[in-house]
Amino acid sequence: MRFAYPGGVEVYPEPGLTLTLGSGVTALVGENGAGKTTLTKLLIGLLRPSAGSVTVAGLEVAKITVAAMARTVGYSFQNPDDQLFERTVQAEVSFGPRVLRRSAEGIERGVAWALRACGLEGKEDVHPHDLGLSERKWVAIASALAGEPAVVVLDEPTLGQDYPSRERLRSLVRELDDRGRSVLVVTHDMDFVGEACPTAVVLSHGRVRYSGPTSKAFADHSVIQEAGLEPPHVDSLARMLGLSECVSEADFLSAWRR
Amino acid sequence: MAGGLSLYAEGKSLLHRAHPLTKGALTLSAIAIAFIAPSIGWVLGIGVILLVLVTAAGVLRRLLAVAAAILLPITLLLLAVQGFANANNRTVAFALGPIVYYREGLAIAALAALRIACLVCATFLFSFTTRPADISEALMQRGLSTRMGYVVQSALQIIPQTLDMAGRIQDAQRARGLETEGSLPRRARAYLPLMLPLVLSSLVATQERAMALEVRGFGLPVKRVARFEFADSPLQRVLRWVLIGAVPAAIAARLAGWR
Repeated sequence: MRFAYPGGVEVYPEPGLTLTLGSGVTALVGENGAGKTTLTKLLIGLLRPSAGSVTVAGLEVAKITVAAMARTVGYSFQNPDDQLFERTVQAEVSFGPRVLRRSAEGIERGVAWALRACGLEGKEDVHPHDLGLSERKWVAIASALAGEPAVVVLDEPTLGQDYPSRERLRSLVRELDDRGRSVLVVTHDMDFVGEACPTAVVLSHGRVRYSGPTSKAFADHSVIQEAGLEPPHVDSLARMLGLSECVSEADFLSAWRR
Repeated sequence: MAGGLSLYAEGKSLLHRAHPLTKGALTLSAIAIAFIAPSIGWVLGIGVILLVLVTAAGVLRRLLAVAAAILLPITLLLLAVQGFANANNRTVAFALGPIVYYREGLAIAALAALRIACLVCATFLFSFTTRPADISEALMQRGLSTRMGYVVQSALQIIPQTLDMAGRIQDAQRARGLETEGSLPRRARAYLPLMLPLVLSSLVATQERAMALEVRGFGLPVKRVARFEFADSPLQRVLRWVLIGAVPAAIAARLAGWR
């Protein structure tokens, strides 16, 4: 697949991007400007490839409208202010399932679950713009989830989040995985990637530099450096202690016990 | 500011370097005189001068692209309406069966089209060679209050910024399932949910911009120094007065019987 923004700069250089994302939770990482957000927008059809094609859950994205894709893909924007437009959190979160004409029962179930999973219970009647950045980010995430889509794309969900928020995000991603959803997380937070994403794709200058289990993603340091990434802190600690590679606390503890 | 959103084209020509107010005076007086001048010859003369300036500024190709898109339909419409249907039509230019085309209408249409061409030329000449921010900056250096300068600047930027914001809101709504593509009624319906958030976001943006300006000392009652002075010269000062003075002179000439 190829794509160029107006002005002609190719995001994915010759011969273009070829990538298959599996089910489960996948992290999409890479330096600023690597083409991560462009890729997520191509997945829902907000951008259209200039050559080649994008297929999501059996649907060829170029052949249907963005709105029709929204039935399958829940998309949370990098900047919540690009996404929030309703007057209350409740209206914002239920906008998707409402315009998708879900059943009243389906709307209620999806919205209630999304609000709970995103820690927004009790804030239903607040104006989204009266919330802080971190909470607006959660409203944006809840809005992407309320339609109960099969594929969830979260662009930089960890941005500006404190520790409890990141923990909530971790359990949310796990819950989505348990419910059989495919999740793609764009992030610069490698600790989060190590803890929450079993699979990782490393993108650098528009090329796929790694695609596979997260546990092996940090092995090749030249790739990590080129992609402007820092390995998870537990990995650095394990190296200092002469242990084998670790990407999560659980890995570290089992390596330490051995 | 907003470089990507303005028409400004980087360049080093005499016009690019000229004082923004000189270019402003040139634009306004060229437009005014084109509409005051009585005959095709005079208007054509102004048009030629403007084209020479456009060529000297190195923006002829850009001008032709945009001007053609604006002027062609207007000119064709004027030629058709005036030539066939002007009340003063007397002399037949040619006839296609029952349809008769008249000389008087043709002359009136040509004059009107040339005047509009001058207007378009002068406006784009100014826009292509002047940064939007420079206009308000130059006015503020000439004593316009900073608040008014900000109003001028905002006015110049409001359309591209609003379009940008509308695009983002629509992307968000589409990504959540609102159908905005397809038939005309469907696309028209999609504008309704856009309006309220657009107005609201604009207000929020205004509030945040006001705060950002305030923390950078916008409201301080102090005398400001300019970050840079626009290069000016006695010649340009004289030229500005001549250009501005030419407008009342042209009006007076018309009243005195300039035909």
